[in-house]
Amino acid sequence: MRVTDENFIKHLKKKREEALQYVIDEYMGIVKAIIYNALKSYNDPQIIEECISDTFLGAYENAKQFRGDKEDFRRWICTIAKFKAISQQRRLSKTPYFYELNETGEAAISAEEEYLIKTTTEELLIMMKQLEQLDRDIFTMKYFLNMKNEEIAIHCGLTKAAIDNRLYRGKKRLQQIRLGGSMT
Amino acid sequence: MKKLYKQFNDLNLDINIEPMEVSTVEKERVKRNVMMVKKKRQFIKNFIVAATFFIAFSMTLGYTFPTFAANLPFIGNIFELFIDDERYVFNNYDHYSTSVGVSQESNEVEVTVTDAVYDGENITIAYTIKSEKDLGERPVLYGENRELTAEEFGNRYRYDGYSTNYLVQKINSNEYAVLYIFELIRGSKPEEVHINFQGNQIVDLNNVNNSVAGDWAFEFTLEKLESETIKVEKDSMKTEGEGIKIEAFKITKTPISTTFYLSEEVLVEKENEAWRGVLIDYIVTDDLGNDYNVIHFRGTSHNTDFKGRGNFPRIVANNFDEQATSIMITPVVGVYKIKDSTGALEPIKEPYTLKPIVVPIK
Repeated sequence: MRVTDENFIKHLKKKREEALQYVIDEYMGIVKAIIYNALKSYNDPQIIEECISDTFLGAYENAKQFRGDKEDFRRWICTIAKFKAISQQRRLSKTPYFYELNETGEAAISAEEEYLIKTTTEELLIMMKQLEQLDRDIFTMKYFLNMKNEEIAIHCGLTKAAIDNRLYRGKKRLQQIRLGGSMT
Repeated sequence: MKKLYKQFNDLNLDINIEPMEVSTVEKERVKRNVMMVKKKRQFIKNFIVAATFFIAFSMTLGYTFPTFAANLPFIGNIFELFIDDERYVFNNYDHYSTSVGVSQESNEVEVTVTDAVYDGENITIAYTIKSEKDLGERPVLYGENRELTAEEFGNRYRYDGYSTNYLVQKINSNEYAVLYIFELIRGSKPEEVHINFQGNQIVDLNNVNNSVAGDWAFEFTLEKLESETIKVEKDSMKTEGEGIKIEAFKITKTPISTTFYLSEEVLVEKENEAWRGVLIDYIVTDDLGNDYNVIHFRGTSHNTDFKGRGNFPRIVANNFDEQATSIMITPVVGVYKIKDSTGALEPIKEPYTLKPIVVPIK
């Protein structure tokens, strides 16, 4: 069996090792760039390499979740790389990493924010199911991919104010879900 | 967690970033880490299944718990590590090799035979060496009475008729990959070989005083790959000049390599009664201008002490470019004299080439 750029997605979904090797050969450069950029300040090649391995493992084990062609796959694996790098940052840094600074330069942090930081990925995902698709996307970008509100705005074709707003309301919603409150 | 990956799919995020340089060795390390974790997880899964199975049956069957070949270090494709080595001549290796995957630890050095392949011309064994000890730059498994034996050989390759090559790559600070190539030069080429591969030392080829004693032994069976041998008509593929005649008399093609059997006749003249020696190297190219790596078995040299003795070297080269129509084997002739009382040699002039032997391959 020869794995090519025509058939690697199919073989990866079938959990073929050859396809995994192919994916590593093809995408390692870009995956390394994303992870290196996110983690270079820790100055630890070991951590970067671990994270790279983790990305490919994640892609391999969740290949069934993937839908699309080669171009989509590149985007998908880059997103996984970013997510893995952020998770690693979370583990490494004792300080929460996504505070937005207010005008005075202090980290503005609300109770909801505090809660979201502490909550596990699983819990957050379960709760996010309750949000609409757009909000789910926004939350994923914000809390799993550590994107800035401006970047999210560009990606969604909305204004930054709209994103701020949606995040604010979304957090409130999550808070209610968590407290078992009725939906308002 | 699964949902998250689906979510990533829906996001369709475009991350614009220039890919970074990645070396082959780095890729191999990642492949290996991924495979190790994957295998571990698989093993845990299997273990749970197996354990459940055994618990269910243990009331009726007094069983001994099986030992799994767990945590075998795994190299994605060990052969790829050697692509830059000038003696790496095997194409499509990974498609034809037999996976062995057995580890042995002795004296804190772990040797793992990962793959092996036999095509009638060469037996090639890929293995890794792992240890916290300092094993030097090019450590290999070394056996007092030769590392490789096969019952099918009988006594044929006991003392001669073979040649060995080692390609060594350092993967990281305490791990190495080795390609051990056992060339069957003269003698039988059985259809199947039951191999015993063993050693009692790990020796650094760059510093043979650096060695670790121990005991490593592996047994596995290899089937011979299909091969095709062409007997070349006398004088149809040859080159001559300056008292030298070189001719190809047999060519063997296998799925992983091509081997040329050559005969060299060299008339070496003494100059002012002084000893002279001649050594011949070969460059292999094709009509498209591709260069090929070779493994060269030299046989004997030519010198004024043994006039007129023929030599039968052998060169193994890659599989050739599909578009190529002919292969050129160019001899490079070096003439040497004895330098001083130590017997060291030095060239008396720049090596020169002869016209190539042309081998049509279409």
